[in-house]
Amino acid sequence: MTNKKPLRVIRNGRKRLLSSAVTSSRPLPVLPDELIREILLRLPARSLLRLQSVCSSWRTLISSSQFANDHVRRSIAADPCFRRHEKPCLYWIGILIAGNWGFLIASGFGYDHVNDKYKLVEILHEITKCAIRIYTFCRNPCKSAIQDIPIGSIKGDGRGVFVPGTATLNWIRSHSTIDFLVLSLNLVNEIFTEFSMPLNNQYNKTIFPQLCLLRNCLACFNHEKIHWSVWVMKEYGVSQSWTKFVIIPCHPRLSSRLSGDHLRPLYIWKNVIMAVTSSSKIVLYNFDNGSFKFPVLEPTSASPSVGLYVHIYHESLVSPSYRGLQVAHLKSG
Amino acid sequence: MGSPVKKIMLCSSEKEIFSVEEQVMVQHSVIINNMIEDGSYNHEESKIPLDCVDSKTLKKVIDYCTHHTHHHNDNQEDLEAWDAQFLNVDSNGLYDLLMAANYLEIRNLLDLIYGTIKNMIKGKKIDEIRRIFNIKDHGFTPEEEEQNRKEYPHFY
Repeated sequence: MTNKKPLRVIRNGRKRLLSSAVTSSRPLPVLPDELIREILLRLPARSLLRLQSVCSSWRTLISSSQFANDHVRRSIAADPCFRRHEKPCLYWIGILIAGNWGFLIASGFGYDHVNDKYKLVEILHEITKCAIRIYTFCRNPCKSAIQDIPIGSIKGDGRGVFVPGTATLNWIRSHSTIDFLVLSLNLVNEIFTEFSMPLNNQYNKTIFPQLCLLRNCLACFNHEKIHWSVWVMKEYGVSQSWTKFVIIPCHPRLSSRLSGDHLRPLYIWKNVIMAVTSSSKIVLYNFDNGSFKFPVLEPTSASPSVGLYVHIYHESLVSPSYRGLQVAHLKSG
Repeated sequence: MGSPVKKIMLCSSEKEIFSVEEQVMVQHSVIINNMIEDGSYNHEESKIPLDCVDSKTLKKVIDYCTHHTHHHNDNQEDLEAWDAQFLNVDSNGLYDLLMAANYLEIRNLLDLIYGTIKNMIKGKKIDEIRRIFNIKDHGFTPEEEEQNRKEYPHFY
């Protein structure tokens, strides 16, 4: 368990300073419920599971779905943790589900805020045809097949990029005359649409552009001979709103000459963009002063040093069996 | 020659009056900002009564807002060191500050205090948390409590 601790990015010594300031050994006067709620909302999900045993009112509060929703919203707004895996979790789920029927081409996981449902999407290549299935987490999981899309043209590793607030999953697909398009699946009405990428017919033919999520916007990362450019779609679905956000110059340690190492951006802090290379090196590029940093992640027994996936995650209390948990509580109470 | 600094009057629960730069309070307190904006504060004659904030706490709150107004360009480390020193208070003091910051809606002070209380909980055993939060009645039935202790002995 200790080996699997997430690598938390701590940007300053704030926590250390503050905890040393607490000198109170006497109990606090009883706090009003709404202030307790504010404090608990700031705690990581793991601690909250433990804190359910403090008292029955904390348990009721922590196990309410409203609290879980508020907690995940706050957790997403805060700086994330990142973790290395041997395989992306979602990919595993996809393969497990898909295994029986066909070959998994693409998958994605997202939140439909209109119906308050988390959805898992898989795009499969079956013996004679392609199939798209959407699963929701509930007591009676259902799957549905939807419209035909040009599945064979999906580029990259097939993992759909979820854009919060829009309830969409996004992939890049190739197109015969204009190089690439964004293929967007709306998780609310389960309909695919397409829109254009920032550039037309100017893409590198060996390293494909990739989609990612930056500052809660859909972003596109493209290798342009001597640098990488990061584009952000300021207004989702509006092609005119693609804006060149930052240019990352090639660095000898990124071995771009070989065209083999691709960068995938993970996150942006104020003026620092964090990206991961295809050989799992972490890169921090400060776009105000143009400096690079290459932090070394210590390998753990759970994640040895080669062939790793690095991804951003946020802890949350929301879980597929969440409503099931509530029922269990009602029974015991 | 600049115009004189605009002041407002705050009145503590002991009816002690504190004169503070208007800008300092407007920047930090949502409530006071609203009062100034909607014109319910009259600079000539009114003072803002804060019946649930005592003088000691009000003085600290004003210190906090004044420091963060005049030193907001300081480097992060200095500000954090100042904040840590500022919150070097006993649990009653912390509680009073929290209630005052909540009443006046001073968001950055609230975040600071919530963060401090959060750190008081982190890594603590359940019994210790009950003590910190003064929870005398946990509200579980004896059977539930026994069950919890049996199931998660390392929490207690």
